[in-house]
Amino acid sequence: MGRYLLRRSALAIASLFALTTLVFVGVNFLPGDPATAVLGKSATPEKVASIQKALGLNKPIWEMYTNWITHALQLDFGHSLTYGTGAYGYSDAVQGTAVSELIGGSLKNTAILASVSMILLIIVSLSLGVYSAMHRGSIADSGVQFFGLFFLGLPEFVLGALIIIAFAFYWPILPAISLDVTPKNLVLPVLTLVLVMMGSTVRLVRVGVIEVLKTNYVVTARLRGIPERRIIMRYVIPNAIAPVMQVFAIATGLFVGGVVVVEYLFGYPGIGTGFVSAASGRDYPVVQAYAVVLGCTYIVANFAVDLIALLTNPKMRAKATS
Amino acid sequence: MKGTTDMDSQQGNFIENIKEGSLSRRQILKTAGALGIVGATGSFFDSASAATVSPEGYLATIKPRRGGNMTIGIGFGVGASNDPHVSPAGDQNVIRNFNVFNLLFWNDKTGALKPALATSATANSDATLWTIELRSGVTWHDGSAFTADDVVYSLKRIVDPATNALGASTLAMVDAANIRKIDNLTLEVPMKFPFSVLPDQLATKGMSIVKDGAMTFDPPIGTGAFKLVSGDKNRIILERNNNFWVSGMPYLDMVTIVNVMDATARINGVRTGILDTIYPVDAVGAASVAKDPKVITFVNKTRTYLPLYMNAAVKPFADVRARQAMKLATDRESMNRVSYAGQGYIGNDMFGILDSGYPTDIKQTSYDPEKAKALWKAAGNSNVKIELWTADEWPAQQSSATVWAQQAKKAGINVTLKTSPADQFDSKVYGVKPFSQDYWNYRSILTMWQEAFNPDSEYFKVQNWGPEKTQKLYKQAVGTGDPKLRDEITKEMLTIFHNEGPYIVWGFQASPDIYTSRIAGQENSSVRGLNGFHLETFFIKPL
Repeated sequence: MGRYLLRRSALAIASLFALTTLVFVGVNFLPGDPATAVLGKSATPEKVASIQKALGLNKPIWEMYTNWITHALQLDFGHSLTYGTGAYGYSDAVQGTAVSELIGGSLKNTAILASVSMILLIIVSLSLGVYSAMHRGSIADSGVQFFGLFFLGLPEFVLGALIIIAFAFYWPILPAISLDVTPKNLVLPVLTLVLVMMGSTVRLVRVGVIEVLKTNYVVTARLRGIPERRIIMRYVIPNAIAPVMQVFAIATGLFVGGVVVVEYLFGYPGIGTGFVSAASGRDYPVVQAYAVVLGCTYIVANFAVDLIALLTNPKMRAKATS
Repeated sequence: MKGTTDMDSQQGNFIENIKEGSLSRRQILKTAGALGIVGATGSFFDSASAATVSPEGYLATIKPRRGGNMTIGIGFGVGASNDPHVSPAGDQNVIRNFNVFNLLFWNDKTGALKPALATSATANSDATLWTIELRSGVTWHDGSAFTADDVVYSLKRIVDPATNALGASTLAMVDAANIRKIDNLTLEVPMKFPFSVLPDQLATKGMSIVKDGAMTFDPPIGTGAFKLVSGDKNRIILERNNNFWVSGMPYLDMVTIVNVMDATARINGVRTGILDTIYPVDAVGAASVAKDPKVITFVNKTRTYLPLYMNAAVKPFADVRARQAMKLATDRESMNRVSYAGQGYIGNDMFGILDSGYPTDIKQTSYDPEKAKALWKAAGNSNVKIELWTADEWPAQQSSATVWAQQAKKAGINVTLKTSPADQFDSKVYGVKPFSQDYWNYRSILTMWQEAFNPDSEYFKVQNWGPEKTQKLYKQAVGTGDPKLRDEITKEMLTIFHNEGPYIVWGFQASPDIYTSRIAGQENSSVRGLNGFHLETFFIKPL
């Protein structure tokens, strides 16, 4: 198992390396640059060249990359090109705001939004998925599946807009935009994220539980007269947990994109808003930092899920040990 | 000024005019749908909004009072720096600079040049040396006195290439090395060549006066109506400067500017009272809230314009007949209806419309596709294909280009509309493609000329137009101290510009604002919405 973990860790590190490289190359090959973004229509070639030189953007890309990766490994993502007194290289003495300082607040806000959403998603998906699986074919099961499909078919921005109309205009009990992180401000963004995601997670949990319910050990447990609640808690959920965790790993990946859209829609001060602002200003260090954080979230979540599956699924454990 | 009077008569209720205009329900709904505007039901066509106010605003009827906080939602533009000489043009930066710092002169809401930190500026007989008198009793936010040292330092700093100031070219005529203080409230500014309109240059937005020796601006120390309390990438908080040099102002205790990137979210914020106002708002956005009794719609009749430019160094635009044909192929009324809901002013291929040197007696160019076709053919362009490049960077940019392309086809001009991503327009299209669009806030005739139509102008290469005769006239105009003579010369310059120039100035922008009904103090700004970004006149209405 140790070798498996080592292999899996190496794979995660390789993925992180590939991700950072892709992010760096992708961001640096975006059309436009910070100089033209700030200068606007007064971006003469001379002015652009002057600012690019001040920002070090005239160096060979490999040199910029090695410089960036060396610092990124130490969690130093550099300084903003567009924010702070020294931004745009106007002052040799002062640099732009440190990226870590700039994105720290946004990350915290997004972490709050994502965590609350994920916890709710897990609770709702497990409850409805298990209930649906246990009562498959019933009206309640059909209802859960119908609404699951309904929400699954709606993009975040459409569902979010409908939720705003419902709860901010027709029944004005919640704010239409969320400028601060307060429980009240979190309700509608969280609701949007959970509803969009639960369409797939509830269905996958349901399928996973149904598969377990068909196994011989569950049938045997029933024949032995073990109470249904105990069967669910003792046999079904532990054995369904691995595929269910896979479902939430997928959900984590989808969350990364969903959070950006939902934050933008609600004006929530998280990485979604920050990412869009930084990208529009071609603030490379900030965009790179956001992209790395988002990508790492996905990779780390997947790694964690593999670990959980390994610990909870004897079959996988046996396979890993062999 | 007959032209101005005609234009003033167009002022009125924005939504009422949408009702009367020919902007079709389908067009608005289609656009609203495409933009995903929540609550855009289209019902504003059926009745006027009781919440819509005339451009005269509230000042005439409600006594301003002190106190309160106003929250403004805007999509924060590129970056931020508290240094007013280098901060980029994102709206949040301009608002902060305008309210924390002051200029020596400024264009007020009517476009008139008014003293701010200066009280007067006098040129010598050949306009090679200016003496500027400064306002007494002005203090910086840190309590120290404002003096000529601050102005000398600021002007030298703007011109110094090491500063990389965005407004450096605006003061290209200033002999910065020899600017000198005469006494605490007087300074002399020598020119490199005779230049009689220096105050106009000093009224442009890059000319903020900073404190002597200021290098870092965290926090920025200004003389403006508000002090910066804090600012980050999502929120800027300003508080009232109790020692502001305009007595009694500002009225608000505090202004909070928050970053809301999505236009629909901004509108929802006003409708639900979380935001007091937002910027910018387009015609469709304003229309979507027209029936909301909690929201006030207010239209600024600005002199901002979005001309179609033609590069006169490139075929087919090198031929004056081609340029004239393009102007005659422009149905200005239609463009105004579609892009500004009929609320903008019609343009006559000239700028500086509030300047006393603007020629009002030139016949309005009207849509004449047959004459345009004949001229286009005479210029040998019957089989020529041209491209009009646009983007969704500026309000009404795409809609006006789309309408123009449709109109021009009727005049036999084979034009293809090309759309660039907005973030690549400035670098890949503007000044690169021979036929595209430009965007200018109001400025006086000679200031505008200095920026674009002299061979050494910063934006000359965009249209490459500036014949010797106008170059000579420009030198005469800036070299005379006689305002009447200067006006005569600028009239002659603009007449040439009208007949031969590279701009199709089809209209001037109507810029709607929306406010929650508790906000008062709105003033029609000739420059831009939101009181031209001067927040000192806003106040909270008494209950």
